[in-house]
Amino acid sequence: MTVNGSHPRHKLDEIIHAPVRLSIVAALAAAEKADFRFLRDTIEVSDSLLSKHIQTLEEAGYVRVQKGFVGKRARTWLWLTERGREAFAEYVSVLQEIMKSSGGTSDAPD
Amino acid sequence: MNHREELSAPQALGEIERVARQVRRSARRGGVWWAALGVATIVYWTVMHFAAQPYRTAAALGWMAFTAVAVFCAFRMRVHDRELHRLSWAVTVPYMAATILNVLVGEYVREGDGVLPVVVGIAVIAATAAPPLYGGLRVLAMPRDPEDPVIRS
Repeated sequence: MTVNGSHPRHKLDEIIHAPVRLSIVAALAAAEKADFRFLRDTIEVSDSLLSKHIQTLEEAGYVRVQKGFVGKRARTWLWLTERGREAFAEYVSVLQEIMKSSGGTSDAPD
Repeated sequence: MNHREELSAPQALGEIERVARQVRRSARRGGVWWAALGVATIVYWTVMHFAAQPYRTAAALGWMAFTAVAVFCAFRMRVHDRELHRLSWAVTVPYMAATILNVLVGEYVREGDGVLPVVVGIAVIAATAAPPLYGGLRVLAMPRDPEDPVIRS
């Protein structure tokens, strides 16, 4: 089996193409910025799992994190960087390419 | 969705739409707030320009309560809409300028004779309320389930 074939799935960004990270990036792509707890509740994951995936995205330069306080309460804001938005746009276009090539009915993992 | 499982293309697109829909539903509150600000502005300045006491005191107290609720809601906002962010300066600067204009013409509108002060009063009230109403309606009118929900730049 070839790893670097011509099928569009080979162009999928591996950093984004993981369930939790995809949800994080999709949420941030639809917003200007979002609160950590909002993401946790929307994606329905634990704090630690979310932190782990955010760190991966931050290291890739896709996400920026800003920590602050509102009164005594800690608040963590996250947003997509320009690079993150571009990567996500590319990821979505590859998904659409896969859908087109499979006639839009593919249920198999790509 | 299990965080370890492999994603298919339809699953990935479905998840992107689900999350985007949820984010936009929460972010709409900003649009509601702007629309409410536009309506509250009309009520407040109409009373301040054209009504007598004790209605003006009531309007001032009402405005303070509205501001307190708005600040509380702003601190509680957990997600910021992109359209709202994009329009924020276009709404805020004209709104502030028109508010100052309302203060400046207030005495003329209240104490002037004839139709002209009334026309001026109505015009500045409309000019003040227009930016937040426009911004609020723009945000609320954004498609919630568009064909491509993901990339709005």
